[in-house]
Amino acid sequence: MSRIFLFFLLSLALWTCTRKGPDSPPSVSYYYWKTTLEPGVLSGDSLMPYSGANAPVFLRLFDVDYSAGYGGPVPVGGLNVSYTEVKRPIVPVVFITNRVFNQSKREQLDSLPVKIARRIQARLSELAGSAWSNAYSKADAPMQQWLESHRDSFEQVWAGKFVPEIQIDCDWTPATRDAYFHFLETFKKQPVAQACTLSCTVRLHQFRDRKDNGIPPVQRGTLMCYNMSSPRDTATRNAIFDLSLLEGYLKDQPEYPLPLDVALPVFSWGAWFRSGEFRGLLSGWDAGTLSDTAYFHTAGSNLYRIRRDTAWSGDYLREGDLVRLDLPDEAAVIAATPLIKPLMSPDSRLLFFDWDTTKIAQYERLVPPILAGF
Amino acid sequence: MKDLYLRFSLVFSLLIAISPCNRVSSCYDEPGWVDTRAVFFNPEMGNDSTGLKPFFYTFKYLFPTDYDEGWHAGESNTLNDYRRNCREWQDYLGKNIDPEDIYEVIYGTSADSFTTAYQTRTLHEFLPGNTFLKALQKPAHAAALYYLDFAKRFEFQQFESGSDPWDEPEYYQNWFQRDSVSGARLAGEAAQQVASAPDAFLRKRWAYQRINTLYYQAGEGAADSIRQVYKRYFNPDKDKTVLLPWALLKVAEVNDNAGEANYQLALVFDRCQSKRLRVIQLFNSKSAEKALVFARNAHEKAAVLTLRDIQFPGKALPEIQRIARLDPKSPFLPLLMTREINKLEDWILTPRLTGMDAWHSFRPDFDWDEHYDRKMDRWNRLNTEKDKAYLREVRTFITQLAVKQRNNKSLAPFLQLAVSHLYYLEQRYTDAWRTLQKISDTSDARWRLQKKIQETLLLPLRADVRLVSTQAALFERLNFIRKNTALMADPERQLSRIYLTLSHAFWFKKDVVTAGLLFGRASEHTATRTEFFWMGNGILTFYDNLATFQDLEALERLIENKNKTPFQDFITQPFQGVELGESLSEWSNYERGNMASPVPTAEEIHDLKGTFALRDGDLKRCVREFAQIDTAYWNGRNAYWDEDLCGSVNLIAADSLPPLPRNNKYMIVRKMLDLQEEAARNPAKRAENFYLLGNAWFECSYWGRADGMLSFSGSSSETDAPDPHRRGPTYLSGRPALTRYGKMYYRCTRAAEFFRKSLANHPDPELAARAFYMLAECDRRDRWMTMRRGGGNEGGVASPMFRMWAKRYGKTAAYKECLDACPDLRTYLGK
Repeated sequence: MSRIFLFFLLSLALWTCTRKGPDSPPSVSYYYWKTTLEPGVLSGDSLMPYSGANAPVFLRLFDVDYSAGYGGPVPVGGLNVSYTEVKRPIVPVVFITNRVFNQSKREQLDSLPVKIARRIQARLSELAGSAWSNAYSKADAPMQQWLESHRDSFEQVWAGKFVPEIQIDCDWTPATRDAYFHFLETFKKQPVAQACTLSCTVRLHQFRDRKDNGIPPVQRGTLMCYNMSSPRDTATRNAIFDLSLLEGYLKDQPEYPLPLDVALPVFSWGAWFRSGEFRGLLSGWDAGTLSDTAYFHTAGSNLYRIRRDTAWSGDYLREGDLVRLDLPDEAAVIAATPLIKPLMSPDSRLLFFDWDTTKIAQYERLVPPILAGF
Repeated sequence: MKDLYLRFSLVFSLLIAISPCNRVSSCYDEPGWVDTRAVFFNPEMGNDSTGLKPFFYTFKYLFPTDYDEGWHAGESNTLNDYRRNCREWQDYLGKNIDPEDIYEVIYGTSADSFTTAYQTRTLHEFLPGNTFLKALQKPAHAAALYYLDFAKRFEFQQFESGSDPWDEPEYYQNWFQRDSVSGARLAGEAAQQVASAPDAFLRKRWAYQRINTLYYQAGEGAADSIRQVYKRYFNPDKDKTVLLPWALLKVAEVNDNAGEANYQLALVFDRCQSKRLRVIQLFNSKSAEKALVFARNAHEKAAVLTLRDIQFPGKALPEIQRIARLDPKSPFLPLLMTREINKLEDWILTPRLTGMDAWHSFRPDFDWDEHYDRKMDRWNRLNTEKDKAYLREVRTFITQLAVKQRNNKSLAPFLQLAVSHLYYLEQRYTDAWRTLQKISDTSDARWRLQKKIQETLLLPLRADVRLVSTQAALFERLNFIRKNTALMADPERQLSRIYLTLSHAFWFKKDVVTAGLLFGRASEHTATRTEFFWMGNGILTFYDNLATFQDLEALERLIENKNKTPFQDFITQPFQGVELGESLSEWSNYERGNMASPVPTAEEIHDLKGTFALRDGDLKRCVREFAQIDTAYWNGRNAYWDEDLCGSVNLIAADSLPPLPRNNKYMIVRKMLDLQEEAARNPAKRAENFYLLGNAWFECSYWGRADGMLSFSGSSSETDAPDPHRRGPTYLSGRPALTRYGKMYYRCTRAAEFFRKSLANHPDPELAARAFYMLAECDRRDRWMTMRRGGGNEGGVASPMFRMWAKRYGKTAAYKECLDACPDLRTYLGK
């Protein structure tokens, strides 16, 4: 009995030791999810005091979605990187919708990794080209000559310095698991992926339900600790961040077989309902939007009733409509630190979704206390 | 003989005076017709703007080739037709369906996103809460949903299916290539569905799609098939659906029978709004009469004639009368009458108002036609008389119509306004005013606005504009007009024409100050005649041409007055946004840069006054004015030179000047005054100072390096030929007033005077040689100007005074220097 007890204590100790997470605050990075680049994002300026100039930006390059018109997967919403100079590392991210994997034909999925890799390479070449042009304009004559004859190797060196990782984002399901994993296996053989680390996003339900969802064949994952429930459900308390739901996903789970980074939300939306029916998401809404009592009055802790008909950014809200403000409650996110810390290793990063200059005040409120929890 | 010569000169001058000018080529574009055309009768009035705005008498749409639907796609009205379609769907599916939801699905979502949602069975997530989609997803409406998916697939095939979306470069993937394989498949699908549609509503829609697919496939026999489908499923006598004219357009497009096609196009024009621009592109005016054969009733005949009229830029009254007889209630009559009035305004008022010609469809290439002026003068005179006669006919017709329609509340006020305005064009101002005052019903805001516009035009003709009471009445109307420009078709231009008309009125009453302020406010959007297109006529040119020193002082007092009347405040305030609009042309900003105020600044007025004084030779007064100008102003106007214009006693000014960076107008005149005053005090300095002053006046002349001292604009080909037109609001020149300053500026007479004075004051031989050289140079320029006026070749103009100079001063060092510097002179002297 005492040996069993000792063994249990040792196991607990070991588990605690291995699961206690990093001793020092993790480095902080951001996702950038727009289709145009705001000034300063890639320029090497420190995005925030606690996110240094060398912290990589996880830069969404484009999405891939299924198109019935084209009858296959198509790229959408590409980020314009023309004439951009990169002065901080970037992690190119490509978001692939799940329906790509359950609607596309087999032969289309076979060629998809090549298409995506080629497009990523094209964007990286554009960025490298801008860097080359800038270097050329500042170089003296001998250096200019050298640069002219070493364009390719310049690009390679540039990629080595600025592109440490590529990430694929996809909310795969058990039904699309095999197709998705096959995609990843093929993708990682592409030249652009071979030169760096390949990671992918892992959602909470995939983290928890590993048996059905599998473990993706990549080198590391980013655990997305947000969008925890369906915004369309009237019973949802907070579709973006709900501490009790997070607890439910993470509690008692064995260690994930991949090194994990953790992503937390700094975005919000208004879930819009009319007569009990979900109408859509009102993007960018926050507490400030709903403070106008001429139009809104509180109907619950994060519920607001529309007082009079109004048009808002192309949406026509009517009197009586309900808006549930989903946003990461600061206290809840801070309280989540002990839950997420054990998931992380010393080289794990804390990522925030997503970077927007209008949210800087939010970051400054949220990020320091979270880091203090490490 | 002399008498004959004088008569000939008079006639010749007269011909020059009334001939159009402005044919000098330049780096800038000539002001276009849109910049000069007189327009006071608001095209918005009396017409359905949403549907008919593209057909107002505008610069853009005079010819079918101008109706470039792609270029002007944004102006074609589709909204009303789309809403009709949405209402038809609502009638079909039930009144509980929100038409906005229907609109969002049909017109607010991309084809690919809809078909993807349909195919992946995610429509319930696509537009959550959309009542239209919810209804379509019910089993009872599966056929309707399938139809909508088809329409979206077809739309995708037509407009979105192009090159491989994975192709690089990513940002340039709008190259369109239709997927013809899908096209054939879709055509077959439509053919099957049209026969098996479950109800009349969907059958008609499938028929429409069938016609579309046949049209775009353009296969053999497509035209016949299109006609058959149309004939079978559409009935123009019974169908009110918007699909009918849409389908009929395709039928017309494939119809080889020009007459019948025209008729069909007329029906399309009549029955929907979104295809009107395309119809005008396709309508063949030459076959309009053939189209009448197909028309079944008067209304349809009127529609055919309306299209011909819209395409016709000439005198269209017979056509309008015919339409009025056929279909007195035609909704297009107000449009056609308004166009006719706008044409008359252009033909009759544009030259009177701006000095520029009305729109021409043909203008002979003047470079190749030496008789251009004479031909244009003759035709202008003939056409003016014809236009006046036509004006009377139009006015008579509309007056008769106004009497007939006096009880028609929706039309009577419009007709009365038209009659009044036509009286105005005829210069029958009392009749115009009387007719205007009889209009009691101004319930329509557009009528109220038009009445105010017409009163504004007539007031100066009924009362002295200099009176405070008249100005108060003008202010009340101008203020109203400016606040209601949203009702105008072309607000900034229509406003500027009103200001220009008032400028004329004040000019006529010799109130140059007010005339200039109104002119400046008008000149942002109205071009007036000038000798050089690129010059741009603005307020400064106006005052430079027409004001006196005293006028400018009165202008200063007005601007500084703290107790302005409302009218004075109106004409001296900065531009309001509506007066600027978005379409400033480059020439309108040339004079003063992109200034936000039409009123000259204090510096600009001092600059003008100083320049006036300088032209008069009054250096003291000039310095007094220029001294009040900050240095930064000169820099901003590029009114500085990097040389000392007075030159040096050791240099020949015609060849070289000593450097003096940033030597501005004030510094130059200051030095001139100092030299002048010193010469007056000290006889020993006179020879030298007069020489330096002679240099300065030479450099300030047209021939010098700093002609900007005396003139605010210039060209390399100027002469001192008399103005071709009398200076006033319809003609301004960049040249100083010729009778007073022509010789001084173009023939260096003042410079020569100072060189003579220098010589008269016993200069040393070297200085005398230089002074005499410059005197000869002045003579040479005088001869050069004479030759240029005669149109001669400018090479090799000389002055015999150089021989005298060589004889007298051949032993001086200055003589030798001059010969060394000028090989041509050496050759001329035979040295």
